[in-house]
Parts: sequence; C-alpha cells; structure tokens
Amino acid sequence: MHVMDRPVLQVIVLVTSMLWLSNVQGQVERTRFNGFGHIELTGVAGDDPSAYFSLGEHDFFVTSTLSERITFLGEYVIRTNGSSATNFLPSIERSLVRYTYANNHSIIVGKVHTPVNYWNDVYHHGRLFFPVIDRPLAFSYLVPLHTLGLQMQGQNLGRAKFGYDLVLGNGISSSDAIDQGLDPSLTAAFHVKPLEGMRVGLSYYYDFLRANAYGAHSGHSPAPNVTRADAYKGPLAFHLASFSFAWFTQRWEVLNEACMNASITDSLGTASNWSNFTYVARRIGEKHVVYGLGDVIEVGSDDLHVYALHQVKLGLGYRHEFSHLVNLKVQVENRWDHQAHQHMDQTSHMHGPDLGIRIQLAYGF
Amino acid sequence: MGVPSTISAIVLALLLGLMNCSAQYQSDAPSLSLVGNGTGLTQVSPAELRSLFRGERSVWPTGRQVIIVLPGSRVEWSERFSLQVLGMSRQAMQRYWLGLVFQGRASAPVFVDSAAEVLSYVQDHPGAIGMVPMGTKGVPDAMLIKVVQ
Repeated sequence: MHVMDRPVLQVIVLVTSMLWLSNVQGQVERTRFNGFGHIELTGVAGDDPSAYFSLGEHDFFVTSTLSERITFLGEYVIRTNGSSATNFLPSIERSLVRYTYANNHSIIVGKVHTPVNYWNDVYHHGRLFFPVIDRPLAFSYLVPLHTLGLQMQGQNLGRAKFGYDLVLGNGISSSDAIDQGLDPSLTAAFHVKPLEGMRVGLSYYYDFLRANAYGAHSGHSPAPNVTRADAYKGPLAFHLASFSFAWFTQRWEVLNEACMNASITDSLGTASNWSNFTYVARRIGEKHVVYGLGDVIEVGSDDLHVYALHQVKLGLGYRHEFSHLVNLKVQVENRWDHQAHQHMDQTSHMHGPDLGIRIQLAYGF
Repeated sequence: MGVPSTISAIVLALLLGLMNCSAQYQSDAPSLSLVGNGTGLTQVSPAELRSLFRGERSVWPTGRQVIIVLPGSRVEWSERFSLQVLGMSRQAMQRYWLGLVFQGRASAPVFVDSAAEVLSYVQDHPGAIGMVPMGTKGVPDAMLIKVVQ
C-alpha cells in the first residue's frame, strides 16, 4: 500500500508541510499553527462498572493571512474510529476562506461550524475551550455541526454589538463532496452583546432531507436503540430554532443553550422536540472554577429522524486552569436514559441511571 | 459642636473627598501610550481603546486591515497593559485572544517582547496598533494616538 493511501500518514505529511511553511522566510507572521488535544479518564458505576483512559480528538489548527483582506482557517482532527485499521481517522472539520469587504462584514466560503448557537460558533473541536467536559446532548442528535457553503457574517455592529450569520450550503445528508438535489440548508442567526462578556442569540435552521440520511459531518445519528439501516428513509423537513444566552465575567459564567426542533414527514406529520443545556460556574481566583450543569433532550415517539429519546444529564465539576494552554476538569455526572426499546419481548421505557466520573486534561500549543 | 465647627468639618470632608477623587483619577490615568500606523485615528476614548484591543474592529477608516500588537508574557508591563486596557489579567487576555482566533472571528494578534519591538512592528506594518509605556524613547509624534477621557 502506498504511503499516501494511509489517512493518518497523509495528515502527518500535511502537518509537517504546514510546520515547514510556517518557518519559511517572510511567512512567520502570516501563517500560524496551533494544536489542541485532550486525554480522559472515565469511571462508570452501575451493573457493568468500568474505568478506562481514552485519547481524545487531536486538533491541528491553521490560520493564514493570504492578502490584506483575505484569510484562511483550517481545522483538521484525528479521532478514534473503529472502522479504521489503526482505530484513528482524520477529518477536515473546518476549512474556509474569509474575505472582509468592509469593517466587520465578511463573506466566508468553505466548511464552517453551523452558527446555530453560541457553543457551536465558539468552541469547535478544542476541548481546552469547553467549559465542561463534553458537548451538550443536542449535538448528537439535533444540532447540524457543519455546513459546507457560503456564509455572510457581520459582527460588533453598533452600540449593541449586533452580529449576523447567514449560511447557504450543503445539508445534513450531504458529504463534503456532494449533495443530492436542489435543497440547500439555510441558517439565519443573529446576536447582540449588550454587556461585556454577554452574548444573546437567536437562530433558525432549515433543511430538507430527501431520504433522511445522516451525513458524516452533520454529527447526527438516530437514538441509540435504532440502527441507521432500520431508520426511516423517506423525505423529511427539518426545522430548528435555537436561543443562546452566554455571560462570562471575571467571577461568574452562565451559558444556556435551548433549541426547538420540528421534523415533518408525510408518514407521521410533525414531531416536536426540544433540548436545553444549562451551565453555571463560579470562578475563584485566576485558576479555579466550580460548576454545575443540567442537560435534557426530549424527542417524541412520532419523530423519524432521531426517534423517541429522553435523556437527562446532571453534573458537578471543577476546572483548574494551569494556564491559558492547559486545564484539568473533574466532572461527576449522572445520566438518565428513557428510551422505548424491546427487552425480553416487552417494551421497556427506562434505562439507567449511569453515575460516572470523568477527568479530562485538555491542552493547546 | 458649634455651627462654624460643623461647617468647617463638612467643608474639610468635601475637600478631602475631592482630593481623593482627583488622586484616584490620576492613578487611573493610563501610563501607556497608544501608537498606530495608517489607522486614520487621531484620538480614541477609553471605551474605544478597550474595544480595539478586544478585536472588535477589522478594518480602519483608511481601508487598512487592523493588526493588533500585544506585549508578550516576558514583557514586564504586560500585566499592567492587560489590566489597564482590557480590565483582565494577562492570563485572561491570552485565553480571550486564543479563543477569539480559534472561533475564526478575528485575525491573530502579534505578540512582541519589548516596547522597542512594538514600535518597530507598528512602524513597519500599516494598519498596526500597539501600546508602549509613557516616556518610551523614539516614538514619532505622527504615530501617537491620544486617549481622551
């Protein structure tokens, strides 16, 4: 097998090339390379207890100034994937070119994080920046993580520091190479920053899935008790409205992500689903943060995209920030899963709770 | 206490209060000078200054791209800069800017290791702004931007 046929080796060659380019005379201040990663220790109690280390996503982040008004941003991730012979696979998470045509107004083309809420717009794949250990539950089922397309963006406009993001691109069912039909996804997101450290936002996302397929970069999957092979394969209209409130001060941190989803099929009509994530933290001094989180997702039994799902997660945690490049999070969490599934010829509606402790070391360079 | 003594005490208290305010104003006055190249600005307010160094502007009135120059962690006045200009510690400033660049909402600032490097970089790069301690030698008048209370 040729070396370039191996995805991991391709990424190594790419990263090495970027490091060399960043040191080429005259380009030191134009191209910047950062890396982010994390390692975790997880312990789960219950009927089948376990404890294990895991190597998290490793993120190679590149920015470059291509001309006075044009910049490039790339984010390349290597993560565990059981379908690979090495158990790791690379992916392009973001790759975009931005043209700033006026002060605080830009046109962006490429693969972006769909700006439906604060979390997806701000945190991306670097766990160093996450306030807690993992993403909200909605990110596994309802939030379209990525869009490949065209984005108009404005920010810090006027006294309220108004911002807008309008995105037209490939939808949930697409890949980075192709999308079927003439049904692009649409995102319209708006926010204001009335106080320093505060951002309040609203967004609307629409996509039409011709065959209810789960594209690799959407982050979507059906509920754990439903396989993709068995999932509905007809047309589905997907509407998502999101509201975000974020306020990060020197002493307190608050983040609330709420979303309402309507998925519409000819078979079962409109399924109404919702999710809400709340994070509240108290910063003590420069390096210590104690926090609590609550996360809930409710997907109705008439939904044919996610299928019936009811999950609640509560957690308490502590974050120690050694510096702006490394932090340690310790999080105790309890999760309740309420799913309809067949067990010994009977329909069961409860699974869990699962009590666990997770420790994450997140770093950047 | 008689009326004259009471009035004297009140006047003295007012005078002491005013002196305290004045001293506090002086101690809050920035000890750093703002320098820029090709920005089109002659003066800014403290709020505008804070907004600039938070990356909230991308293009100057002259059409030049905004380039932020910041003191690196080895600069002895870097903590003073981050507290006075941004109201945050140096570590918080580094965390803020790393996060902003990672979001893709601002171009990365340039970190330098001395006031001389701030001046040199700003002089050589149209669109760049930075701050240096007041009294730094060799600052051309044309580069100074007033910070007006």
